[in-house]
Amino acid sequence: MTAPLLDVAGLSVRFGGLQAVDGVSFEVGRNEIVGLIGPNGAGKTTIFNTLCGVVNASAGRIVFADRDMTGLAPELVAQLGIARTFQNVRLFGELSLRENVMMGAFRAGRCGLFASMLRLGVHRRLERIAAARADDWLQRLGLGSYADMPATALPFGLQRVAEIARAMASEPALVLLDEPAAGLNEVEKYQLAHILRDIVRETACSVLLVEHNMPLVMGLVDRVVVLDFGRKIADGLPDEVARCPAVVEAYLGA
Amino acid sequence: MDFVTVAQTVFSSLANGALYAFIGLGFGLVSRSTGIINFAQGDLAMLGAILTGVLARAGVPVGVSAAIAVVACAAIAGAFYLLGLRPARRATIAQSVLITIGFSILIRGTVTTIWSAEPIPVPSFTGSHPLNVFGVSVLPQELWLIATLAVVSIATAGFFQRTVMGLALRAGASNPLGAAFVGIDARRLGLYAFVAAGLLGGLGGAVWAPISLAQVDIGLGLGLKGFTAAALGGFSTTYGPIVGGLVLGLAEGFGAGFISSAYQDAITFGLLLAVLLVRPQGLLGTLPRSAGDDKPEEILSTTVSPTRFTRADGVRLAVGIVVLVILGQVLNGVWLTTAIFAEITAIVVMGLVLLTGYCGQLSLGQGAFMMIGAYTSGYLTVKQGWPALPALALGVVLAALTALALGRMIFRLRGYYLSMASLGLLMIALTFARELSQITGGPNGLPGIPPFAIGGMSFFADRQFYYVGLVVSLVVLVLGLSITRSRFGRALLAIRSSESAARSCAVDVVALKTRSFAFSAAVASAAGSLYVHYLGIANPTPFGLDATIAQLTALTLGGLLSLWGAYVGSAVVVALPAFISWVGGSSATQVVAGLQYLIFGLVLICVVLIQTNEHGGRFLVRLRSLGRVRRTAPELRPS
Repeated sequence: MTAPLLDVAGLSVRFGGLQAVDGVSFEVGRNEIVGLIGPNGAGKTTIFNTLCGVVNASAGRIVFADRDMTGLAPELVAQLGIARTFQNVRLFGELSLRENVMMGAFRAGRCGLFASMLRLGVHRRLERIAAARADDWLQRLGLGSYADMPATALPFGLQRVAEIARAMASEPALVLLDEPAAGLNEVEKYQLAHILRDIVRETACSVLLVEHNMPLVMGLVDRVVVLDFGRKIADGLPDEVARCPAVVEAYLGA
Repeated sequence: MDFVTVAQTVFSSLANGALYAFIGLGFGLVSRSTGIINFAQGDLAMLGAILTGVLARAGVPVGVSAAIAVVACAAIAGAFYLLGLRPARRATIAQSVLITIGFSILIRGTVTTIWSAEPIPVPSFTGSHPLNVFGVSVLPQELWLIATLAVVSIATAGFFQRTVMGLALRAGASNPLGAAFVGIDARRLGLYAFVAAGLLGGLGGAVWAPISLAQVDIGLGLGLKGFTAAALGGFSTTYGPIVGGLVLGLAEGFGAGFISSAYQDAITFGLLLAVLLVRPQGLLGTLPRSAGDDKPEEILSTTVSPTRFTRADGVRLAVGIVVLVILGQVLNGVWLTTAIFAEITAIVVMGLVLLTGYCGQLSLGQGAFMMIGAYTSGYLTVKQGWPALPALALGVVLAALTALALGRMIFRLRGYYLSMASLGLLMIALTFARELSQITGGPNGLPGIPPFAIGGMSFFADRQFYYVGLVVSLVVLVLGLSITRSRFGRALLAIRSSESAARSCAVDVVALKTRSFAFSAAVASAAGSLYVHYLGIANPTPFGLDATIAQLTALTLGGLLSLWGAYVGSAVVVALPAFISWVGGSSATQVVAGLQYLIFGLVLICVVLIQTNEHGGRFLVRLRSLGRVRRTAPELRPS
């Protein structure tokens, strides 16, 4: 058994007097979809932000692909191969859809002001890679015909898919999705689940999903981690977890 | 220093510091409730002083004059908010700051045009004979100033801590949307904040005017001092600007006493830079705790900027080169000279397109980098016998390195810090250019700089130099186009739309901004070198704040994201003074200067307004359909 892709150990986050996350440990394996769920205020978003490097942990360790990434800045986290999407979609308004997805491939190589300005070979190579990946993912996710539109002119549901395309264009080992079903209608949710399943099947990528929508999570994930008041209360297969008394109590109230 | 000297210095410094505190309080108030920096704050104080002086000269009792002046300042500031800032709803911080800079120039231009730049003496409120307190000479007016500040600061503190309106202002600043949901109209709060800031500025100016003279030129300097006071003490604190103002006054007083009054500006702005770098929240302030940017980003653009070379770029480049080459053959005399200055300005503005347009960072100190180029070229060619080209190259490298060092520190902070830091840098550079006379020749300048030459070819005639400027500006243009049409430019546009999303794509925001800053500094330095080779003399005057204002106006006119626009904007800005004096004759130089500022100010405000108002894109359509039914979006208002 190899080490898990993402290993979160004893993670705690404190905001002033508020212990938002309290000693949470969980793992995400390779090519696995894991759901992170819990009632409002359970600490899901805080954990998500800590993984992205937006919030600093006050204790604990985050190890990704055998590298300690605790406390890394967001751009360095992305550089390691962790892509993310935003709950309130954040596409680049001044770029076309294709260029938005090309931005995902930014981490494919280093190329600074000089190399870009003087059009050195490395710039041409990286642009080719970015364009190829963008076209590939736009095709795969059915957005090909919108490629040259301003990204923010797309309907909301497609913008969400476009964000997933941007994340995938970075060829990540792990994608973090922040409430991807929020604001989608039933059809779109169904399509989203389909897309995520295909991605995990066709690439070597893992997915960590923070989500409110229980049916979506339970039908999609391999494993689910349940939080309540900043602590982990369950971790296992969706069926097992759904029967777990602590989870039922947290969701239904006692 | 004996006791009396120390006491005298302390007292005089505190009186100066009190004025800075007034202006700093205005900065703090506006920044707390609207989140923007009002660059016109110093000009409001200047206006208060001038109006008091003008009314008193007309025979109105000085106390009444001061009262009228204060009310007028408050009304003007309020009107500016309603007409200038409130309609610009989609403005970024940089654009809002540009609008307030326009306001600042507008006040300056109006005052100069109406009352000229002559200093106006203002009578004291109660007697002008100094009192002698234990050997320390005290002007009654200084006591008035300090007492007014004490009253105002108690009132301000009470207002923020004890009243619902004060609480609402603080709430609106910390979270406008949340405040709107509980029934606070953030935009009305902005109006109140500007009126109060006008009141504070006008009051400080009016009470201070009898100590000194009311003069239009003091506005910008006072604004900078007031800003430094607020930054020193902390913008977001109640007493910060007051403490900062007094500390600044003491630092200046003792700096002048112990070191040299010539370096007073360098001391002030050195202090500002040090505070920005070491303790950006100010002496009394605390840094906001939130780590991410969770404010919704609202750049909803319907047009996308190209990020690779297009056929249109090629056509524009070909046509542009042909037009510019022909212009060099057609233009003559003063218009040829004007075109050369326009080329040099355009080079600087192209750097600003990248820095301000693409990165959203407003630099007010490109003059500092121009001076690095100017004096490197001047010193090396005159005193060391270097050829022109290596000297220019060395200047470019020095400027870029300076920008890299400064940028690395400044861009960790978000917001308007670069504006202030670059302004501080400019002031320090100006001071050194004036004072280090063995290298720079002091205020008289460094004469005898040879014409620009490459190898044995010397470009002496105006027409030859036009083509030198054209080649250099075209090189900068092509490099700029190449940057904006690359993955680097795409990343800059990404940062502009959403910094957090850009970082999630592994974009190192600090590094990209720093490099863009270095590029803008490098080209500004090249422009500075060309400038002194053309004039044959290097002196500080052409690189000061007037140049900054001209560059920003050109940038705004030409379009923040348009490299070609740099030529157009610069041509207008450089030709305008020539045009006004051509129309008006050489007799009215004061009016020329005044009108020039007035027009620049109006242009800045109007152009940014058109760009940032939600109806801006359809501005012309609206003009045509004037008088028909106007539709407005529903607004959040307390019921």
